[in-house]
Amino acid sequence: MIWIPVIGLVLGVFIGLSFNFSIPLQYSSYLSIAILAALDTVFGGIRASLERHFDSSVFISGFFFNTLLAALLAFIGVQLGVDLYLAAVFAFGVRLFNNIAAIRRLMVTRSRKPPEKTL
Amino acid sequence: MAKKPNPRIKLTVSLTLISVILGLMLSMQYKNTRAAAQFQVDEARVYDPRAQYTADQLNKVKESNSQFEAELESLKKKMFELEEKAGDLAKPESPDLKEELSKYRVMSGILPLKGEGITFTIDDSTVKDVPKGFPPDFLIVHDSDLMNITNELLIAGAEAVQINDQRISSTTGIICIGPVIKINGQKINRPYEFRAVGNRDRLEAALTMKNGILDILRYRTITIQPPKKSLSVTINGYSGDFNGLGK
Repeated sequence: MIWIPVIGLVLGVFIGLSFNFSIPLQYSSYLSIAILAALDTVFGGIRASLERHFDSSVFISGFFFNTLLAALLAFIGVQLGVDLYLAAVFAFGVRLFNNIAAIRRLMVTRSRKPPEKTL
Repeated sequence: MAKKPNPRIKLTVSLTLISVILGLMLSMQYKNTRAAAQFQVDEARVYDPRAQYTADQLNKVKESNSQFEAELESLKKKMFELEEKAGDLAKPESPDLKEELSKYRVMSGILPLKGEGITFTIDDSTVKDVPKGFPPDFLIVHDSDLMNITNELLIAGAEAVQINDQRISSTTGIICIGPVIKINGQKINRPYEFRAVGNRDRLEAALTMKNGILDILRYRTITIQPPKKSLSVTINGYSGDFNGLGK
């Protein structure tokens, strides 16, 4: 069951690479910041599922909202001449590490105990 | 969350959905990064097509120029060798022939020359506030001025005249082309340095006589460094061709 999202990830990469569909080069920086937001959301979702308070509507809305917000922030920053995307990079980067650390900790504690009801 | 019957399926579905989208974004970004790198490489190669074209043309011209110069050099060498030979072969007449030859070479202007003569320089006026009604074209040196001075020098018996690095030959033309003057098809810039080989006293007298050419120029506030008499004035050989006649 846990492998299905991974397969989905591979499928998405495959689709992106095989179809000749790309966004214009000048929006590349927005896409990169959006990817960071999306990664953060995904790891947040994994952590939430491990901590058993996962809510799919929060998760999906968070994914799209964070992604768009990050891109919007970068866009406003470009318009104002302030490197606002750095704020997004910083915030999402810190959260990404926090989430991964939490996931690691949960995994470690769970591996010590006899497995009960895991995901 | 607990309301739903199978939260695990829901979790998997949403995670999978997001994963697909994330994968899509990742691959697109990867492609973009590759494209950007490629673009930079391309841009470095054809930075500006017009500048590239001009540079290429310039290089070509330079190359052909140096080729021609080398050719000229070797041809000159050959010519001198042949002349030497001719002089040796025709022993009895050779002194006369050689003299004749060098006379014609001086006349045509291809021979570099050194001898007594005068040098002087003229330049545009440096006077800032000229009286009202003073024609502004009086203030700069024109092609006609160079012609008049050259004529004056030749009339006064100059054997050879040179303006800047251009020798006045039998087919030399002097013409104004906007801000510069063209002599022997070469553009020359102010200041104009005259060198003339000939009887230095006569040359100087011809230039500095009352109401002569230099007085006229002086009236127009043209900058003149007065003629200097010298025992050794060197003059270039003429390096062009004689309007298609060759050398």
